[in-house]
Parts: sequence; C-alpha cells; structure tokens
Amino acid sequence: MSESMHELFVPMLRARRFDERLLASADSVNGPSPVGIGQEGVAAAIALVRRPGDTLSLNHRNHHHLLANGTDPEQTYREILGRDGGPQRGRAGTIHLVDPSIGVFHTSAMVGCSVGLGVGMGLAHKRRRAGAVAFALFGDGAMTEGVVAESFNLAALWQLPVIFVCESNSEPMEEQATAIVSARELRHIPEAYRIPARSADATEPRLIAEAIEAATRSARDGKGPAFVLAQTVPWPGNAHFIPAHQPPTDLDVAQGTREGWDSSDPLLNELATLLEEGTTMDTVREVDREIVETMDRAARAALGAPEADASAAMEHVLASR
Amino acid sequence: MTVLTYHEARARAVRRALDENPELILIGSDIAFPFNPEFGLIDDYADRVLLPPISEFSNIAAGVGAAVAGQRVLLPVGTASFMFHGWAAVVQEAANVRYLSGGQSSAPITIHMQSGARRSGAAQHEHTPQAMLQNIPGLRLYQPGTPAEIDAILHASLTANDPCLIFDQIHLIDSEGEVGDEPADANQPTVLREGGDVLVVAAGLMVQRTLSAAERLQGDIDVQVLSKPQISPAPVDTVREIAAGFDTVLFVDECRAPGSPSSYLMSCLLESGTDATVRQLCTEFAPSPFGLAMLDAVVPTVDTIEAAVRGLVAGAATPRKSAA
Repeated sequence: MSESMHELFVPMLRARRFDERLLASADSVNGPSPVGIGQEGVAAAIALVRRPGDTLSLNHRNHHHLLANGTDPEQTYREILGRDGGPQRGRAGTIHLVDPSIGVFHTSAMVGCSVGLGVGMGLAHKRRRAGAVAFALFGDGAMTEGVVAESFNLAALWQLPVIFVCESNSEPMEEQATAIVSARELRHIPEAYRIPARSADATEPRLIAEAIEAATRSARDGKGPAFVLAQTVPWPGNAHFIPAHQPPTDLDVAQGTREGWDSSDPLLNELATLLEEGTTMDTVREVDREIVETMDRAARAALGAPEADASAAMEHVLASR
Repeated sequence: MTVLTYHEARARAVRRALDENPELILIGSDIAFPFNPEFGLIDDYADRVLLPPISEFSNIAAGVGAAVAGQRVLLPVGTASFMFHGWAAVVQEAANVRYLSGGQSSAPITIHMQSGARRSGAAQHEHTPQAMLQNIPGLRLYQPGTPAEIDAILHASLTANDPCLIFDQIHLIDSEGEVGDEPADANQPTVLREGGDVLVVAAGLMVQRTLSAAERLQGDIDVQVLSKPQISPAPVDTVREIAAGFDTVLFVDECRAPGSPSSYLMSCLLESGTDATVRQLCTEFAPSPFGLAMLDAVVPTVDTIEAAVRGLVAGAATPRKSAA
C-alpha cells in the first residue's frame, strides 16, 4: 500500500463507509442524523495535521471528523442509536458526539457556538504554551451568527491559536457569498478582523489539505488565528435535515471511462489522483472491503444492543463531590 | 475567625484562589469593580487578568471553551442583566457539557455578577436571572448574603468541577461579619439568628434586610433567620428539617414570585405535608422602576419584611397588604 493512500484517502473512506452503513439502518435512528458525506476531505485534512493536545470544536455535522481521526465506529454507532455501551451513555445521539481521546470534549449543535467554544480552547492552549491549537468547525450558515463575529474579533485581539474552518456546502453566488450572506465572499468577514483567510476547493482533498496545513502551521507558530473556507457542494442526500439513503459509493467509477463520475466527490477525486500515481485498484478494493466489514460488524453489534439504561438518566447532571 | 466587610472577604477569597491555583484566570471587563483594584489584583496578577471586548456571548463561550479544555476560569460579567447577551453559552453549553458527554468532560467555569436592585438602575440593569436559571439542570447557583458566604462560595465555585454562577448584590458591599480561617460549606443553609416564633428563609441582600427586621421585631416576635446561599441544587432537605419546628415560615426573595427560588422551596414544603403557614415575600411583578420610592414599593425592604412578619403572626392571608 502506498504511504500517501493513508494520509487522506483511508481516513476519508472510513468516514464515508461509516455514514453509508448508518444510512442503511436509518430506520433505527431516532431523530435527525446529519452525515458528513461529501465533506470528508476537510476531516482528513485536519486529521493529518492534528497533534495530541490539540482540540476540535465540532458541530452537529461531525461524524466525518470523528471517524477520520480514528474514533471507534462501534462505540459511535451505539451512541448515535441510543444503545447501551455508548461512551456518552445514551445522552448524545448524533449531534453531540465527543471523543476526548482525540481532543473532542464537547460538541455544540447550536449554530455558531462551536466557534465561540473553539476560541476558548485556543485561549487555554495559548496559556499553556505547548504549541497546541484549536480547530473550530462550522458551516456557512454560522457566518450570520453574532457570536461568530464576536469570536473572530476576540481571537484576533488576543492572537489565539485557533483555526476557523468553515465547511460551506452552499452554492456560492455571483454578487454575494451565499443566499443569506451579503458580504461578497465569506472570507471577507474574518479578513475584516485581520485574520488571514484562505479559500480552498474541498472537493479536491489535496487542495484543502494544503490550506489547512498552512493555516495550522501559522497558528502553531504563534501567528494568531487563521480562517479556511472549505468549499464543498451539497451532497444530494443532505437536501433534507434527515438525510436520504443513497447507494454506497462505487469506487470503480474513479478508473477507466469514469462513467457515473461525480466530480464533486472528494473521495473519488482523491482516489483518481492515487490511481494516476500508481496505486492499484486491487489494493484499494482490499482496504475498502476491510473498512466496509469493520463498519458492518460495528453497526450490527450496536443494533443488537439494548437501549441505554433508563435508570442512569439522572447521572452526570453535576459532578459528585 | 476575623471580622471582615463583605468587600474585604470577597477580595481575600479571590486572591486566595489565585494563589492556590496558578491555572486560574479571570476574564472580565468588570473585574475592576467587584474584586477591587485597591487590593492590587490587576497589578499582582497581570498575566492572569484578561480584559475582553464588550462581547458577552463570545466572552462567556470562550470561558466555557477554555474550561472544557482544562483551564480554570473566573468570569465576572458585571451586571447580571448583561448575561442575557451570553445566555446560550451558559444555558446551552456550560450546563450541558458534563451530561452530554456522559461524565467524560466538564466545564469548571465560575461566572460572577451583580444581580438585583442596584437602585436607579431601572428595568434593564436590575434583573435576578437566578430564578430563570434554577430551571436549568447542570449549573450550581449561589447567592451570597454575608462575608462568610461569599468566602465559602468563591472557594466552592473555584474548586468545583461544575459551572457555578454567583449572584452577588452590590449593596452587600459594606456588610460586616465573621469569616472563618477556612471557608465554610457553601452548599448548606446557615441559621444566622435563633428564634422560636417565625422562620424567615432568605438569600443574598434579603438576608441582611431580614436580620435588620428581626432586630426590630425583637421582644415582640422571635424570628429565626435561615440564610440559604445555594440556590440550585436547592437545599430542600435542610430547609424542610429546619422548617418542621415552626408554625409560620416566610421566604423573602429578591426575585419576582413566578418561578422564584422561594416558590420551589415552598412547593417542596407543601408537598411534604406541613401544617405550617408558608408564605413568600418577593419583588413585585413589575420591571425595576428607576424612582427610589417606587423601587422600595416593589423590592422587599426592612420595613416590608417587618410588616410581613407581623401580619403573618396576626393571621394575615398574604405577606403584603397590597398583594395585587
């Protein structure tokens, strides 16, 4: 297996197959479960530069970040499905997933709050002077929240090591950034606070990885916050808040005639590049088979588990002392 | 034991916490007032006192985020009413970190504010948000009424692994009282005055006003004064035990009656089947008026507390003559 395959493609594939397996059992999910399909390039790019001690402030759409960073799929399925044995003991569902082992301590589903929390994490990192950074993840919709403007100002004033990553899945418009943002471009908003900002096509994983890497390096070097606009396109299944099931991604379309190719799919784009560089489809299929099996095993184990125990509902309201 | 003013006890407790825990930082533009520059806090701890912009939402969210990432934070928001700008960070984030994570994470942040009637603050600067926040699980709410209580509360909050909110009151500043060398237990109510006729349960500035009223009533009516510095979780068992010895129990509360901390404790007493007459004297259900005569007509004063106790002993149905 090529070294580079493990940098972006395999973490993306883990995330993709995790969500696809979840959607195959969508009937067992209570409530909405936003998935990260189409945005895995951003997650893999962050996973590539994340170091122990860094923190991630995620939002309601978080599966891809967890899986790309190596979070256990069975534990995550248990939590999403509200089953016994979930690490958050049935309190989270999809939109509040955490994994302290990869620096995800609290996940807010309130639009914009992940940005404010991420700034605080950056403050904690700066005070410890250990070179750790905070990644704050948010969608383009968060750019109209007041707390985001306040947080940009605060992070810039205090020169905090925060990488603001806006995963935009809205169509850019001609005269203005999106249908609900009157600024011409999203990056103009952080730039008004003198936060260096980059835009990158997140359907091309290597482009977004380059932008994330540069922003992270600058934040680690003590140059304050940085902003990255990761431009993705809406995955068709995300048209509604409860995502629709789509057939599992066929990796084979990335080779040969490329018939049925979706040029906005970051997973297929990265695979095509790998194939051009000499990775063989057989190797990819083998890795894929393993990942699909892992996800299937994990999902089945979670689906077979009983519901999280109701008697524990009153625990963890406050610390016992 | 030392006799200190409230103001001295508060500054001493903050300084002690800063000395005991080098990880503690202060974030707040109103640090200058409650913790006092003449005590040299900003000079002595310059690198631990951060002066943020006027952005309550991001300031509180940043405080919570820093706490989640392991930083101990004391965040004075100044006036309690300002917290409404950062409400989501308190109610949605701080309160839920522990629960949502199933006990894996915590947010050890302490938010300090001046609540209640500052006098002539008018309707936008005299709120008592503790009444709203007692309905939010996951927060510890404190309302100190004496120098010993602010000492205990600052210690408890700054060593707890929970988000803690301290609802201070600007007019407590000159109150005097004995403060122990070691902080007391902030979570338990304290009997500040023994008496056998009527039990008055109060918090915050209402403790001081009740003590003054009890002094006036001495000789006629023997009032026991119970101060309850912890608003939430409510000290239900202790209040119930102490109330069991009385025929008349009056709660005095600077919050408005609907959803007040007093009404919750009253409902707990009533559910336990008490035979006692249980009433509450709260701030009237109007915004805080600017004019002082009007303000004293709506917020419980020493006069109205005294009158309420006399009225209840004489068999009045409600603690206020003009309950409407």
